[in-house]
Amino acid sequence: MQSLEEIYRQYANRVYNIALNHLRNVEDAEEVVQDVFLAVHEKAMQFEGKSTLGTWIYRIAVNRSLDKLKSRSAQKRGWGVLQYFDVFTQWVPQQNTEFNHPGVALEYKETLQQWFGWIDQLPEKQRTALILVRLEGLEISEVAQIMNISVKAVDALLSRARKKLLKFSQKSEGK
Amino acid sequence: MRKYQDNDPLAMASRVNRVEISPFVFSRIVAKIDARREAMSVQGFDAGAQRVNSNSTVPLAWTFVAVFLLLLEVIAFSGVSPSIHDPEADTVNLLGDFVNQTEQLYVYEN
Repeated sequence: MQSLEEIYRQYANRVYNIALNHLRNVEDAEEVVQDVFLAVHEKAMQFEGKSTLGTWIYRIAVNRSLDKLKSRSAQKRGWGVLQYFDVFTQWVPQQNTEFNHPGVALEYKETLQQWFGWIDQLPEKQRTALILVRLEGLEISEVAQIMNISVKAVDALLSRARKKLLKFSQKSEGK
Repeated sequence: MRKYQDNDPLAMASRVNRVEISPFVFSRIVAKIDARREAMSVQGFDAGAQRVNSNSTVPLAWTFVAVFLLLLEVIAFSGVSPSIHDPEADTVNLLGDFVNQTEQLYVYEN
């Protein structure tokens, strides 16, 4: 059994980047990393080994990032109570008022802020598939395990995400 | 190929660089784990030995029940009990406590 420190060293950077690409805010992403490794520490005994340790940790990271995104979205609108009702918050597009992504170079900041704005308007699963495959560079088979869906379903999600982003892009150029 | 890349909205992903996490985050996690462990030990939880905690509440509950029953017994026997529980005591009391002889005789006659 690995110690928490060893596990952290192995997976923390990827967990951080998954959170950062979902949230685009350093403080929020660091909070998610803390939550993820606290959960790993507490639930280590519950890990059944059905998937790899990495897949399990990345799944927790995605779930915590989405939870954070929902609560932030609800708080922004002063609808704190609504965070318990997914249906109201899931489709609310994010506003990038706190865009703070250290992985984005200054020269691309404006373009990528707009691009992330489009990503925020994608349905949750399309967004997650896109972040894990295209931004994190994970294998589609591993993403399928993380999201608990088939490889074909991940492909379909990516294809739909691409089409929607293309529409947003064309709409933006047409203005 | 170049044109396809330019038109591919997913190609923008290549402009997002990977970032390293701050070295201070792990020490914050350790501090949180320690704080939780301390809070649990204050509440009677022993980390890694929850069985101890679940048993420790049982004697506490039984102590309350025992104290409550004892209190009931004390109330029953000290205050009202002689006249309620013990018919003989009633008689003794009636006979012994009355100073009025007429009434005492009346009791005897009945």
